[in-house]
Amino acid sequence: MANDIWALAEITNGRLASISLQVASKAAELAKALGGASAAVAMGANTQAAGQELGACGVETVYAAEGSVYDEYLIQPQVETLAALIQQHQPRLVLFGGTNFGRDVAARVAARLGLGLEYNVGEVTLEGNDVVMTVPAFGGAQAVKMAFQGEGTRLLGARPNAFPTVRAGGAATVQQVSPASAPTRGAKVSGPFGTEGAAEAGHLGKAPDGHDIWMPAATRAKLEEAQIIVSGGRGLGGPQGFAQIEELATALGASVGASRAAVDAGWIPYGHQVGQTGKTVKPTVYIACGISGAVQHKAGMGTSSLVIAINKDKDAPIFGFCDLGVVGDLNVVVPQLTAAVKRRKGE
Amino acid sequence: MGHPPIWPAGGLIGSIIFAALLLIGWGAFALRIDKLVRWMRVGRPENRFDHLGERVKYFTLMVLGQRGVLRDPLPGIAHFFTFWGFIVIQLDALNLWAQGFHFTIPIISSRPFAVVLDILIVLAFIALIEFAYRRLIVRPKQLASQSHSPVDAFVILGLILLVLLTLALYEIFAYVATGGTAWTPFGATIGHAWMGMSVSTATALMRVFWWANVLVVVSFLIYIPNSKHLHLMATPFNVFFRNMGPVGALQPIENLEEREDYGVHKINQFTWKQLLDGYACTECGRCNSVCPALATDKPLWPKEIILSVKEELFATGDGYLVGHQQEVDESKVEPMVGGRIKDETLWACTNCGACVEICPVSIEHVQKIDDMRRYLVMEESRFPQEVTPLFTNLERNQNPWEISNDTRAEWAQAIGVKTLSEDPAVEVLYWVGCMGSFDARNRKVATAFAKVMQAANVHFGILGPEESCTGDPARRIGNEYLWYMLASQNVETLNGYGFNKGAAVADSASNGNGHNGNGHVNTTPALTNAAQPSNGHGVGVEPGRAYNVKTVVATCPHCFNTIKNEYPQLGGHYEVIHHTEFIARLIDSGQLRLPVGFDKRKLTYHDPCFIGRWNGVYEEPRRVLNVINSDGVAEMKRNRNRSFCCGGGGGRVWMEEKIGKRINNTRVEEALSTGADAMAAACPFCITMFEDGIKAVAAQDHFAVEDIAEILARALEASPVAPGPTTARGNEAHP
Amino acid sequence: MNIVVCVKETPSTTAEKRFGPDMRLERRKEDAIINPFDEYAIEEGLRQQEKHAGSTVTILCMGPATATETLRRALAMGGDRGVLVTDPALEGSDAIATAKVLAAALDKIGYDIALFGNAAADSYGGVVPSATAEFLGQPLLSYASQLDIEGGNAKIQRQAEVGYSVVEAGLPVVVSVVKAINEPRYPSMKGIMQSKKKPLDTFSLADLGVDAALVGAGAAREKAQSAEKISTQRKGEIYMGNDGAADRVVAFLAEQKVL
Repeated sequence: MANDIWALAEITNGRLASISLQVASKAAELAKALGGASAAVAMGANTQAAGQELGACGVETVYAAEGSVYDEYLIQPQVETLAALIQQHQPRLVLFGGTNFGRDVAARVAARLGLGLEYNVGEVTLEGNDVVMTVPAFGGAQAVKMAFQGEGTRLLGARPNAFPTVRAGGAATVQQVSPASAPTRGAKVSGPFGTEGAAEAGHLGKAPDGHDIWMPAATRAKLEEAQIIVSGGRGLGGPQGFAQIEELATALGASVGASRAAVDAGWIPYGHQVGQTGKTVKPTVYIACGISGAVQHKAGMGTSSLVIAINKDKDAPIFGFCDLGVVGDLNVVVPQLTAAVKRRKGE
Repeated sequence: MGHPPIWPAGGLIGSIIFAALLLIGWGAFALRIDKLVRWMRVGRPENRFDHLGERVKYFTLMVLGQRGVLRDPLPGIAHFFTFWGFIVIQLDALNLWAQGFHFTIPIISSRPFAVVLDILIVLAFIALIEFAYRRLIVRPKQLASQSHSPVDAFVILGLILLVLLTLALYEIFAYVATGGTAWTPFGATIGHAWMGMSVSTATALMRVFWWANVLVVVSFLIYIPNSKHLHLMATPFNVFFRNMGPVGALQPIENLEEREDYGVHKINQFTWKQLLDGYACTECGRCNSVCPALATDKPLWPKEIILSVKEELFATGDGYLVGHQQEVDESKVEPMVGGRIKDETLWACTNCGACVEICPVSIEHVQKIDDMRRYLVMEESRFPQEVTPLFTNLERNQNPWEISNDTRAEWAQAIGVKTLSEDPAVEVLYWVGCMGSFDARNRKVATAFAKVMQAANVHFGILGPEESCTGDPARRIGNEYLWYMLASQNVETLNGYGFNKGAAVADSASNGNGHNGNGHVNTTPALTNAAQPSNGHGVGVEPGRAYNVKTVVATCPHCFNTIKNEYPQLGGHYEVIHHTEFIARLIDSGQLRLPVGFDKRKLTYHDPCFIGRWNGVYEEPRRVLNVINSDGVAEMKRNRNRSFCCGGGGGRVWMEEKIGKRINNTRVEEALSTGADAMAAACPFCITMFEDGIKAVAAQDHFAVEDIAEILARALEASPVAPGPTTARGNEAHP
Repeated sequence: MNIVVCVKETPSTTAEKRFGPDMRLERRKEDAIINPFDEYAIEEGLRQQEKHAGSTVTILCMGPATATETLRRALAMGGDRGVLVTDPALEGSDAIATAKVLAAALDKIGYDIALFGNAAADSYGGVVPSATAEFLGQPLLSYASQLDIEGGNAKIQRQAEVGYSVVEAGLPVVVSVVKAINEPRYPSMKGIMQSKKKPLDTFSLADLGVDAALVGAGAAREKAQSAEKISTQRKGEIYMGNDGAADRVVAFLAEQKVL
């Protein structure tokens, strides 16, 4: 009880998010080190299959609440079920993935039960029996070590890819939990997933409540919200150069940006322009291909966490503010990179 | 002598009818003028009675000497003779009218006057034919109008022709009727052949043409102030009341933090002088012909702005007259800004000043455009979306980007340049500007200029993080408040380091002009006369020195212009020079020694608008280039005060250029057409615009743009010069 | 319709930041700005007000007493009045305590729709909107990239990591918005002048009936132990040539935990 460590699984329309496996792996590791029990909470459709995957990452127990209510309403049923389970079992820590889902659920549960909550955790270490978390502050300028104080269950939000997925290969005991009832005043998920561009979208199937699930052909986040951006500039040499950029972006799950020069040349619409007179973006990774990096462009992407530049001109200003710069021919490097990313992802 | 024995009106009744006619003509004239003056006075007050001596001098040159129009030789000469013909004919008209009341005026009725008159009649006649030829056959693009019919122009040509004709015919028949007593060269020459005509017929004809002439002249009186030829009367006043400078300064908004309206969106927010501009516009279209925005198909016709203001005044002026009973219901009238004058027209302007420079009648287009931008920004918050991050970053980071201002001096550390906080005793402050401080390309310029100064042993420093954006882009886009905040902060910093030239200058600057309780203020510390560009050299420099202690040198013409010409509005009076002037002085004084003719490339030079047209610095950059380059400058067709903007001024560099051809590409193509290997520039925005332009026209393999300081720094690095005969010193440097 | 926009005062994104000895941010007044994410919430509130006649927009901020300036700046964009919740006891409050106080203030002000930016530029937590919804007992429409209010019902496009879904709920409701929803307006000079005359109320914890023991540093369930500056210098590794470049980039992405 006192040292039980849980993981919150994120299941949307029957699909388990990859970050859930990362937090489950960490929960199993911490529980083992602290001598507590590990568990995961899975709610929604296909919890059985999710339970197996989570078990493979080392958690001993999976509390499974199977029901369509979890996809029909936003967050509230998950909050009901998770809060009830926490009250019942009093785990020491509940790890959750720092996604929109994870943050929304954890914040409500913390507010309801008066629990401590830390988020954006990049690293968790044990100092004796104490859990110490490393959290970036001020846009990454500082690393702060945090500890919980006081009693009671604590919620801990992990940054994406902060913890590796470790498929130790176990099997969890799946404990069925009765699903939550529909909230009286609920936020109802009423529309299909990705209405915009439905014409060219792929039909993914039916959601539990019967509505169609659509995946837009370009499953791209808007530039302002994108975590990874692959951007092209004049060095692409023409509109056909953007085909390579698109492929790399697809492989990375990234959005496509462009420099003003490429937009002015008419190779790609203005909506993709990054820079002083275009969009200001702040992704985790910004990959600039054939962009020299004048201050007008830097103004739109200079605060990206990581900048990777590919340019044949070794004197290009962008090499002055990148984390990794490749001085080379992007017509060679970009396709190779696309292939390498696909290999890495096992595609 | 010369007294006609026959009075032309035809007796007492004739004189009475003539008197009535004059009364009607002059009455209508007076009523119209009264209305025009009252309309003009709905504008805000503005002091344009300063520098009276200068005004008289300039007036003589431009109006009586017709110097402005003479820049365009053929139509200029034609205009000269029409103008003087018109004046002399008016004088003669006095005499003709006097004769209607049976007397003559001495001098005007003398023979020498008649000679002058007739010569001018002939020359004016030829000039009119040239005008008609231009309008009908040549049809220069600049004369085309978007909204104004050419009929007006032909009516006036016809009327003047009629005046000339009736006058000539009157002279002929007067000569015949008086048997040669009423001598005029014209009348005598042609009338001689008609001497056989009976006196009564000749007298009758003489009277007919006298009356015809009088009728035409009276209709002139009525017609002119009601037509575009109002300019015939307004132009001299407009030239007299012109902007006496510094022309590079925009006028401030007074009581910025207490007033309730900002900028201009209705007619009574312009100053009276700005309204007079509308009366004075001759619709010659020279402004259109030089506008870089119009040349690249943007929806900006500088002439139309001036005419629209006039039309707006005619349409709504009555509503603002004193004693007018009805309040102007603004919700019912179409707004001027957004209606008659479109937003995109105002945003297309690069503030390059080509229109102001070329206008023969001293119209100030740019101030009006920026006044209306102020309304759009400060009252309506209506401006191109991409400008928002500029404003926000200027407010928060004191530079246009989301970059901490603390890193402003980073570029300088590598080459050992100190900040004033480290070394407050410097003689020269290098004002680096945001581009030089943060932009990788322009950091090279800043570094190069610093090395040039180091080579010349100049004791200089920079402000580093204490330097803020000067506010120029904000002001030019219309955000006066942001300019005011940034500029005030900089004035405080500069004063703190003792750069203010002191109270004496401030006092003399506020004499005779200064604040006058309205929207506009004239603070004119030193005169930058457009007709006499400052030579940028030697003004008050201590003997034996290239520069005074506590001089501010800027590489950015926009920083330079606002610190020099606009900071005095906030009480900051500094000795400010542009780095091209500074380098020229260093060479002239021998403090900087250069390998003569080091640069062997074919070089062209682009005049930045904000040191050229707005500040008269044309020759210093060329002097420097003539030393360093073996062949001097291969001039572009449009150079010096006719230079064609890079497209980046007036805040345009912070906006998207979505309409028409790109201005920077157009200028790069012009530079390429000289066959030059490189373009020397002297402005970070020009360099940025041309770097883009060169790539856009795919010329980067054989053409480059470089700041003059960069060319010099490379020369100094490659061949450090020991004092000797091969070095440039003083006047040896330039032929 | 009562629209309340909750805003946070944050340090400027480019300002030098440091912690004091108590491991809390040392705030310099001149560096304070409106959390940039919240500007989108303000803009959305103003646009909804333009669409729904008779609506009022209140800007609500919890912060130090000096935050009135930031609040005025928000009011320069528009809105009818400002409310500042300030109390010495609030210093050092964690996200959950902040949500508790905001919920109490919202209940006191009265609201049909409470708007938030989806995160704060200084913490990137993004948990306050959800926790506030919980304290209020209202549904949450989070990560909205579009908001339509019609007939007492609010409907959003909810931005997910990939794509988005449509979510709706009856009023009153808590909504958090993402940057894709609009372009915030730049305040006009008129707006700045008017903002100086707009009513600005200040509430203390006592005014809201919140127990001071439940908020502030003492009640925080997390405590910072130490902080170290992370080098913000770019790593600046340069790889020359095409050969092996792709593998180096993939390895780099893996090192940085991106892949």
